Amino acid sequence: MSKKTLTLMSKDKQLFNIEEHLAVQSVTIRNMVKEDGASSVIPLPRVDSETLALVIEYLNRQQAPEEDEDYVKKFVDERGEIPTLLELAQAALDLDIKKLMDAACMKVADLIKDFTLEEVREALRIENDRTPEEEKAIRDEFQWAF
Amino acid sequence: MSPYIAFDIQRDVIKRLPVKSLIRFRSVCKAWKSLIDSSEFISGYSVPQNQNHLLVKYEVGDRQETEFKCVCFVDDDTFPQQMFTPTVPPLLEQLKLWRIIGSSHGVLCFSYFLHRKNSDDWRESVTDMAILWNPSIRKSIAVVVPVEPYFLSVLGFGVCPHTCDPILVYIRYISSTCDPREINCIPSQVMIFTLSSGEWSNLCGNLPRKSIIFTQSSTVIGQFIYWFASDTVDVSWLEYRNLIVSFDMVSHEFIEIDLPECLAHFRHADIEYMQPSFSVSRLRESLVVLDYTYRDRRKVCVVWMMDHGDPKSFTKLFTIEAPDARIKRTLGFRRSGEPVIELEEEYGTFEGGLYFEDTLEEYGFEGRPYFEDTPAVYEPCTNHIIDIKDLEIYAATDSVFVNSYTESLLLLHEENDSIYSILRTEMTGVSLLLLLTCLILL
Repeated sequence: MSKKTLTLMSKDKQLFNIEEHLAVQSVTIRNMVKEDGASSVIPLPRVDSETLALVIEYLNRQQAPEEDEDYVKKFVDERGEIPTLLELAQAALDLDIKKLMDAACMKVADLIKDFTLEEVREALRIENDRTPEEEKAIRDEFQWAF
Repeated sequence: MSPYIAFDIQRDVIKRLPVKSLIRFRSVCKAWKSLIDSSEFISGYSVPQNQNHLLVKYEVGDRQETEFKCVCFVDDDTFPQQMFTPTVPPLLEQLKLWRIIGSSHGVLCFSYFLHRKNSDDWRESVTDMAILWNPSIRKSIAVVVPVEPYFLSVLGFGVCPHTCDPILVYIRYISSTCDPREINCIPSQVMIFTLSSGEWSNLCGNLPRKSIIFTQSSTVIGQFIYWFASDTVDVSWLEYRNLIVSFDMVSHEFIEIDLPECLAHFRHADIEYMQPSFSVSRLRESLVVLDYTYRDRRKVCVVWMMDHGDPKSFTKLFTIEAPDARIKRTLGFRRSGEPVIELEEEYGTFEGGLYFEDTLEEYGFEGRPYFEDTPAVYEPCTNHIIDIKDLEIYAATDSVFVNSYTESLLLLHEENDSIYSILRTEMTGVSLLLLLTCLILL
């Protein structure tokens, strides 16, 4: 009996094949498969092809359970750019792949922990919604940390 | 690339940041501040990586003038390389007569007592103060403990894991010099301070039995504060039976834990060092009993562990023994399980010109060695002692304390250096009554 294959379609309409038993590490895909017996193509409208390729690479890993933690860590370490990691985290969130999501967020936290406030805002695309006076008031209590 | 990062992802990143970054990043935007400041975030915050620290407190100098020192280590593979000096709260820096009660959820608890003027008698001490200090966020608060003279007391500290509320437990009992069988009419009194309420209240019902004498050795694990204690009932006068008493911070109940026969027999304090023969400690999240004994005239420390929180089963883990060193005490345990011990090292010999000048000759000290204490790490598998000599911690006798703590955000909303001093009025009434009863009996 041949292994069942699923096709995932990225935001930019690229198609990726993956064996079903590997794809169901994603809780989202698992639920879709359960619901309608997996139709031919699963569209992932929020994940671009570059990120989906990474996710597929991750899902295709063949690791013993005890080595898995290290593998996930290494996997995100090698893709140490914050924008890539954030895209990966977003895809992992949408697809509900907890380990990948945790590892990607851990790596981002590790990269930004010594950033200045402005660098954090830039990296995570956050707008400063405070006046300089308000910001100073919050800082003053913990001046030592800055 | 999407213009915004989903807040779920931001939250997942934020909860993995170390405390210092969190303190700074409260200023990133409004949403980040309200997340970090929320009680859910504070109580759920724990980072598995690099969060354990070992605090070492010690004093240097001679008996006449000592200087207080405090250093911290990151307790991971880098130990003891990553050392830093924590910012000690002003209250602790000024006062020397304090000791570490324990640590829980990143908060260390210290206590000290102030003397009534012109008196050094401990019975005259009027104010006990507990200081709660979170070194990671550099915040501390003080709580006045309602001490009454002529009673013995112990203080316990812990953070309730369910509510993340710091709790102080104050237990007062009658001195062991009174025969407890005769003073059963006097209730032992327990008072509880919770930081959320900001005040002390009496604990009614389910108090420890009056015949139980607590020791100062306590530790907190999960929702329980444990004390090493002895029971004087059912055994002949001055012959105690050891046991462990725990306080459940969730149900506010005391529980007695029997010890195996070999630990239950009371032994008098170690004469040479004037230190108790037993104490309790925490090894990762397990309770351990430290049993100091002598083997071939050498002091060794047997480490017993309570298995999986089951009070019926204590197992002997290992024995700390070092043929080439003088072990004084086990100070605490690293996250890896290795004990940090206190060694006594020969520092020099008493000679003229040192302190005690007049008494040296009189008491025959001249030419005898004198010692300084230094902490070291013991490797149970190899019986090796790993020196932490690089640190050059040579402390005055009995002044070394080691405590492990984790990074946390507790006390974030407390005003730094504030003092909780409100006492309940009925306390004084009850105490007077107790005092009178005690005096009548004496």
